[in-house]
Amino acid sequence: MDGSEQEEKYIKNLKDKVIKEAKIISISEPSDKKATDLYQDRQNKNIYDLLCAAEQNASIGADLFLFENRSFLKRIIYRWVVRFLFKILRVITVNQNRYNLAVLKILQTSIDADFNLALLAANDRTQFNTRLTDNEVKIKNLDNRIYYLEKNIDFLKNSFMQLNQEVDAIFSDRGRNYAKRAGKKELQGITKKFNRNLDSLYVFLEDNLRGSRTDIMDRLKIYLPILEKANIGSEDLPVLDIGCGRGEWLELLREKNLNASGIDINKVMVKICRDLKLNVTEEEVFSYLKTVKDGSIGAVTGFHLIEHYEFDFLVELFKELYRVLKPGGLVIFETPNPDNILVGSCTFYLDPTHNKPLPSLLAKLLLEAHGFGNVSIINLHPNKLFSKIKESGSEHHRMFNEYFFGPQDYAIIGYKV
Amino acid sequence: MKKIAICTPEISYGDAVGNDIFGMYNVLNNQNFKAGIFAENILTSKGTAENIDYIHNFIKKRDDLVIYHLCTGWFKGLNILNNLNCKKVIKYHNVTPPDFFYNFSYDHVATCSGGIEQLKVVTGLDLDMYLSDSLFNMKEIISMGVDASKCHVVPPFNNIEGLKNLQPDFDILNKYNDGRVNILSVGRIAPNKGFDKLIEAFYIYHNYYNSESRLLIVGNQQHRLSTYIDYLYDKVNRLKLQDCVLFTGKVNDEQLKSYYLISKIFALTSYHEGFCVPLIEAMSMKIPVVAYNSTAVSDTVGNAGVLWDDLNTDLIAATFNEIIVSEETYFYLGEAGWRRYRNNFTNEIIEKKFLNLICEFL
Repeated sequence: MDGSEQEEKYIKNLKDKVIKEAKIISISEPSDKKATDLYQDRQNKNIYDLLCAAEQNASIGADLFLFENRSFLKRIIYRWVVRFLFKILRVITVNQNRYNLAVLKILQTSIDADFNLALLAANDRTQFNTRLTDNEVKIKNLDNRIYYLEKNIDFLKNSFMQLNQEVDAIFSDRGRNYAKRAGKKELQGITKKFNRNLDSLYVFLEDNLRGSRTDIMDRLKIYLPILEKANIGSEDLPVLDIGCGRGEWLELLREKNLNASGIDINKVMVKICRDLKLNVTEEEVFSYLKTVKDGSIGAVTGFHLIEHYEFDFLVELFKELYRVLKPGGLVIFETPNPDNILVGSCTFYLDPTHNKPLPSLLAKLLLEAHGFGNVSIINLHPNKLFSKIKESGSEHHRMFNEYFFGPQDYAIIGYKV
Repeated sequence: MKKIAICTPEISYGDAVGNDIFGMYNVLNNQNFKAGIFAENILTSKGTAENIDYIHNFIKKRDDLVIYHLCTGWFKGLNILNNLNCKKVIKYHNVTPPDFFYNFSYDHVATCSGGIEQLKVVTGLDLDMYLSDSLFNMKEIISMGVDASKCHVVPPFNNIEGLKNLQPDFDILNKYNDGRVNILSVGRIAPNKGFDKLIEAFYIYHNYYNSESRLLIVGNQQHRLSTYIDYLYDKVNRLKLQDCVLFTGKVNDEQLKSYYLISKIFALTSYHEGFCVPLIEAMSMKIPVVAYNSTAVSDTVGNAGVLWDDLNTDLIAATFNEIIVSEETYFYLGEAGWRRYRNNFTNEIIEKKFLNLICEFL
């Protein structure tokens, strides 16, 4: 037996085995349009076959088998009789014959036409599909352009609003007075004011880097239980939010019926908050705090605020806050966590107005040094963009994960005991 | 030095006809012939192909030779072939019958009908020699009235050795080498390839034998056949196989190699094949072949794979199962395929066969 025969035998045995063990499961073809399309061709062929058969049998009449098993004489007589009968029949059925053939002709022509139509339709469908894809691509491009244009419009809107306010100020009485007695100090004030031209840019950056309004409101929800626990938010224990920004936190407090107000120096942000009917003042933090009585505030909050300040400024701030808080009141500050290496080396600097990263240990010591007690730290927002490396119990792996994927922000909470 | 012009309507690197043409070109140039490639559409940057209009500057003597690759209708080429005064050889790669494309693409119906018309003309011309990819193709030519003594089978040159030396695409290896059984089919997505039946067979295998399985369909998707492609996608959705049937679209050689490496079975349910190069690619990589025994498939696979005379999806699914369950069967079929490739389809063997015929004739 040579190799090829052996192979043949092997395959045959294999096939026998498969046939024995095969499960018989027939899939019924569902009767949707496309599936029927596929078999249309086959059906058309059937129609052609039927038509051909009809054509062969179009002339009416019947074959007569009268001549078998008859004697010669009888056959001659029969033949004469049958011929005579056929002649009569032909006269009667000639019209029927013509009619049959005409109907067949019509059927054939109409099926041919159908066939051509189907081909044309298939062609049209292909062309249509091509155009459809082209259009889809174009729409996608347009969508992209609209997205970027909308972003530009947001930026322009903010700039315009700010300019409007500047113009208002200049033409107001105050502006005119400035112009009259423009001493050195006033001029400096005006220059400072124009430096705030960056306000709208800052809003644009915040819109793009920090996250959407609802995202931020979700993130801030974790602080609500802390306020509830300390019974803060009543008439005599209000919340003050420094650097309230777009007012997400104030809005959240209003939803919970808690008493709160905010301050910010960014005109555009203040305008946004006022449009939302939030209680917000446009003022520097120190000049504002000076107007606040001792022990009159329940809680002071600042989200992504303290990293903007110089160190001596921060020290002054904590001193003032201790003064204005009621006993039992508290401060909450959220800030980027430089313990995470990516934050400390890169993402912290995404905000050009940031001053220096503030390690949680330093913040804790500072608060304690100013008399705050029960100071605690909450780690927030671990980096979930990338998967951590697998921990095998090794200390190095754990440290690596903590440094690269650990919390990107932290909150520090201190109480006036 | 004798000149040999290789003509084709369209040349592109990487498809079966393209590989055959470049194979011939290299072999002939290594053998004291001056060979040139002439095409109407040149889709390759290899720089060896010239426009067909320049063929008159190349072929001047009666002793020169034209090898005309016939796979679709190309009447300009036919005219040129008629007008040249030299020796002429046809390499027939088979023309797909237009019937498959009715209801799907009028273009394909037109090209395939053109190809068949052309075949009729070419077989009537009584040229010097007719080469075919497979026995099936040769029989077709003989049935059209060509003298059998002028007909020979020469398998197409292939790029398998090139494929073997390539580094695979590791992304694909990592992604799909996940313990699931991968069943592979390679070929452009067209109605004659019978992918609908393959999907049905896979459905049975997936649901009744092994749910940890995946069907990979590697092949170019032409926009002109979008109706058929939609039909296949519909079918996959209806059978709820979205997660385990993957249409990769056109892939490069590295990706193709990776798909071969991760697959346990090569399946083919094509209704019409002139040779089917992916079959020998699979055999060369020791992948068991399960196929519907239509047209030229048995010429290519021989006894080295499981071929079914009916397109019975139940049996095909059961065959998948048998190969996966029985390690012995898996290795036997892999070895058998590899032997068949070594003995019949390496470029070396094809070269010997081709040169013998050409030298004898010249």
